[in-house]
Amino acid sequence: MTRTILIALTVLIAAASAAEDAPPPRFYIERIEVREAARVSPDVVIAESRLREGQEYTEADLRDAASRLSRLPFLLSSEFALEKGSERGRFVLVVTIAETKPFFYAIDFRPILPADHTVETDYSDRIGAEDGTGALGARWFVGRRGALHLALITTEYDSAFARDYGAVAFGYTQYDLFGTRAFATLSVKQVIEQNAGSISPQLVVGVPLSANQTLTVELDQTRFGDDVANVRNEEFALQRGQRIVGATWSYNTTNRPFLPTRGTLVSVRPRASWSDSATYLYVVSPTNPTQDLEVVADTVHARAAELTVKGAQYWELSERTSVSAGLEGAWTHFQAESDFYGDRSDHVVRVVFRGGYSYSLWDAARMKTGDSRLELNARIGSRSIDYYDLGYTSQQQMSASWVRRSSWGTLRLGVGYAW
Amino acid sequence: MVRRAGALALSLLFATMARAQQPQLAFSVQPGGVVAAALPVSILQDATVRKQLRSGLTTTFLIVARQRDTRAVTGARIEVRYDLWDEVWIAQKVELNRRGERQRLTSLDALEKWWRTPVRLLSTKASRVTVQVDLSVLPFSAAEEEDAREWISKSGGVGTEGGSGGLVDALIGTTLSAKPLTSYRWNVELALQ
Repeated sequence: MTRTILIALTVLIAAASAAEDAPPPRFYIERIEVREAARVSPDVVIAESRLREGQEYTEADLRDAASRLSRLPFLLSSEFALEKGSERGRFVLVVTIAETKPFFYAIDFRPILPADHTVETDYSDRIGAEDGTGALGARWFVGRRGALHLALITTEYDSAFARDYGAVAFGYTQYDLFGTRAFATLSVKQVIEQNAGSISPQLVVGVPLSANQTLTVELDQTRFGDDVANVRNEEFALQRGQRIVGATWSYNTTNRPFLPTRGTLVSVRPRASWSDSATYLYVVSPTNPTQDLEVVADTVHARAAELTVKGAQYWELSERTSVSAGLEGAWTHFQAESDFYGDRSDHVVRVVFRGGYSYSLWDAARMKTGDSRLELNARIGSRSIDYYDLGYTSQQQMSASWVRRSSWGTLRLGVGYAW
Repeated sequence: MVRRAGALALSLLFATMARAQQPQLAFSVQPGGVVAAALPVSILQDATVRKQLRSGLTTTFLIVARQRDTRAVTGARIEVRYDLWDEVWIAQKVELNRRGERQRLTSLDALEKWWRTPVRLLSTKASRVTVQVDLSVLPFSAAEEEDAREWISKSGGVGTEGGSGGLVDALIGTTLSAKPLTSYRWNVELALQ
């Protein structure tokens, strides 16, 4: 559809006469009213729109605000309309929303079959996919600008940068922080492991720079479960923790948070991680190499710095069909200090091309209540396959899936192959 | 007001409707081989469209005509906004080689009457053309802010002087506009006598 529109509008160059356009109308919005908000706080919707009462806006401003709301995970759709205000020339902006349920899920259930054991499957193969393969939880809006969440989350970091984990997270988000339209989410989480670690915090602060640009700062501390390994009647303490500090600048004009079909997504993310671990190693005895391997304790202090740049473009070819293309480049510098191995450092350069095709099973009118579509995703790129050995491989992956978004969440079912 | 050319008669051989329930387009031929289409009022009466029309914000109707034989693509754009305080409909057409005057229509009946005025879609010297016509109904206007206009002008190499402002408007409207509220498609074969 977009391509069709583009072609036609290009032809309209001939239609543009010398007549001057009237200036775009500006609307003085004296009040913003959010309708059909049962669970979602109207103040949060207004804050996330970045519109303010008592100011003038063009239709372009209102449209950008509508686009921004359409990307919120707790709204399925929003519609804008004007009503007469208290006096001539003043308007009430009515935002009619369709909410998601307080319980949510984002589940990617695609068995991706690897060609052999050296191939790692990649569940972030979809363009614009963030770290993490799934989430399950609930969100409650509290007060005028707050929301609590309880969720099961998973991460998918590059293995040279940080360790993946699944965790139970409980947190609070304050929107419209100090009246600035910024938000902050403070969570505490516990990693799901056999020996649960202590609770560790995560802080995310987002600052909208414009309707389409956001700067996000992230501080993430993760404490993995302590354990004790008994090897040859000797006990070794196993401990691990990691900290991640990063920032993300993003430019996002896509139309949806999970299943975009048009728009541009660009992000630049510098971040750093620190990890400390206590473990044990099987090593050759330095005094008697012919003996069995010795078991020795080791501690590793690792640091990694990473810069990731992502760009993706989505095109709607028709009302139901869209394609996407994306490029991701990442540079990761890794440094480790081991009691046994000494210091070592290396870096990873990762380049990934992605392409996607999707076909909506629903028409535009029905999409207000969700989405049902078929997707084909492909990726080709290089990726590190081993945390310590820093081995790299070129890897390709393809998957086909059916995706359903409803007021409850997003479910992806399918199958893939990686080689 | 588009004047129907009496010298040129048009007969519609048949219209293959992409969807059975699609409202019918009425075609006419104007001097210079310009083919115009009168849009059915039922489009304005569609519940989704009517709701958007009453929103006080602009509703954009984008019409794309594709000639099968020559692959020529032309189009037109209609923008309608109901001014809540003046209680008038502000309507404008940008069509083939022409930008219509902005109209202030005082009633819905007047809007529907204006709506029926044929929209110039394409010009051809052929005696027979097969055309696919797509109409998309979009929320919000294609007219944009000055900074976006300048940005598109610079990045796209399109000047803002003279007659190219329409393209700038159109491009901005295309690249940033919201998803169509609804859309229609007609496939027709026209014999121009």
